[in-house]
Amino acid sequence: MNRWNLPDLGLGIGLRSTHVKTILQRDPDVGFFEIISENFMGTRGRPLEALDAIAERYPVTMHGVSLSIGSTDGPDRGYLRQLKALAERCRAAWVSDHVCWTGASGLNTHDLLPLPYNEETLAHVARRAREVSDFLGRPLVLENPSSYVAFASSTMPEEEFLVRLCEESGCGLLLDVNNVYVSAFNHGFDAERYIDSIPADRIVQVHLAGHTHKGTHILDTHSDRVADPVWRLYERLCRRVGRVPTLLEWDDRIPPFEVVHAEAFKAARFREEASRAAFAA
Amino acid sequence: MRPSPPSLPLDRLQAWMQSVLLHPGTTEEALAAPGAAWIADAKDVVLPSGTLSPAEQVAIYHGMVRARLLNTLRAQFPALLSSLEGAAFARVAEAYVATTPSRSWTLARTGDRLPLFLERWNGLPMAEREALADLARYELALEEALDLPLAPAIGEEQIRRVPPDLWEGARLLPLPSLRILRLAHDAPAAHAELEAKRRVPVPRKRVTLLAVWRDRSGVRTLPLPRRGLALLERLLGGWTLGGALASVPVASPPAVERWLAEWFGEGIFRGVSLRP
Repeated sequence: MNRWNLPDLGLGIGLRSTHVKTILQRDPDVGFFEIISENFMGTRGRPLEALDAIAERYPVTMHGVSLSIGSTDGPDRGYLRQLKALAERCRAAWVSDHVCWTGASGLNTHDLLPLPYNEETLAHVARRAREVSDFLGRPLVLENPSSYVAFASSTMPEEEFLVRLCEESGCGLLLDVNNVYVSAFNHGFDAERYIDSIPADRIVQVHLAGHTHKGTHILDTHSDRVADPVWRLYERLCRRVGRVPTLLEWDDRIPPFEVVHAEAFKAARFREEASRAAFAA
Repeated sequence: MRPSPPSLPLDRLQAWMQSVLLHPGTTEEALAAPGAAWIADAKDVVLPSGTLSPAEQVAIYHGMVRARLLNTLRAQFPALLSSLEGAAFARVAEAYVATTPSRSWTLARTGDRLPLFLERWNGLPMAEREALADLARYELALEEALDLPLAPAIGEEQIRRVPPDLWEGARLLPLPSLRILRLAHDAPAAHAELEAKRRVPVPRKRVTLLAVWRDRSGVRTLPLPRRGLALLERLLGGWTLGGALASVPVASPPAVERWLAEWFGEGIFRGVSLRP
């Protein structure tokens, strides 16, 4: 269990507009749905009506892509106000975003760009995370990014940065196991050691997703089933930390809902094994 | 003096990387451009991986940033994409994102300034610029309507309950999604070809005045006569029916009755306020 007593919502699926009709018609067995926060901000129309209908039936968590917590620009108060209002509207179990920056000097690249892992960045992101948590009135949950560059100005490994960030900011961690695998391949670090080093009580949620292997590097495309090595990392994590809310993301070449559902529920076996192991212990 | 790479401050690192990622040329050109060339070599900032050079790694992001913006524009303007066909649309979109960097946290605002850009971009034949700009305006209006809230339209019974002598001072309350669109080209006719899964033509020149709103069935549009538009505009502005009619010279009272009957029938008003 995480240190905030945030609930184990079970197995979840990233809510995508192409699936909303099917979900509302069939009421599938899903522990929770995670929304991309920005898809429901800046609108007063159809997207919110769909969200209201989903939130009536399922727990909802929010996952953002535009907080830009690592940007050297000041926080966007208008964005934060909308984020908070949305969290209240859909009674979000928690609000997450990424350890990244998306733009600076008032511009936005709309990409989740990596940060150098050093003391300056740590102090900056920890301060911002505390500010955002205070504003939202709840602990912010941050996700480890997938990345394709590592910076010469980094002075510590990503997992150390994340653990220290959690300690210094009070934020929770959304551990994306696929991202760990992708970045480990791209930068040549040990994915198992990374997974093993994250304190269990900091992990609020886990993400799983598919990726695309390009030979020289791996892209975090969310366009396929979860790869076997990522399942193995997930199994390893479950054995150590027990049952953690786990969500499948599928964002490109999205198949019918049944396919996504079946893929997400492959995680059930590992969660059950983790429970049995905990019980036996 | 060039900063020592390992101590490159975060704001400088972000300025360098953003300058590269938003550059419209190749990654090589981006790295050599004035915004980024103060770093002599990408390897001063980015560590090489086992398989890719620093420049190749940065190129992954450079390509993704552009691809995401172009894909967003393709999704926002399917009729424009059809009309221009793939390659020409890509040229327009590339030129647009190069000159119009995003200042919003949401991709949903990516295409907001595309109509104005199309009007002025000399990469398109002069004769087509305004027509394609109107097609883009029409697509934006359809999308905007979906982002506005639904409300029930006033019913016949409620209309009948308004005493006849109070209509002159009545204010008609529009649906929250109701907007008026003025185009110099027949974008709706061109757009209809998209729904028929045919190539969308360049809209022909024809003044097109529309009411656009959404109901439970989706986005609705209604052509408006010129004077009908003037009347509706005043009603949307909060004028009383009597005041609006007095300020818009209309050919005949039956025309007004016909318009109002059509507007009520289509359900573009949510109520009638009788407050003075």
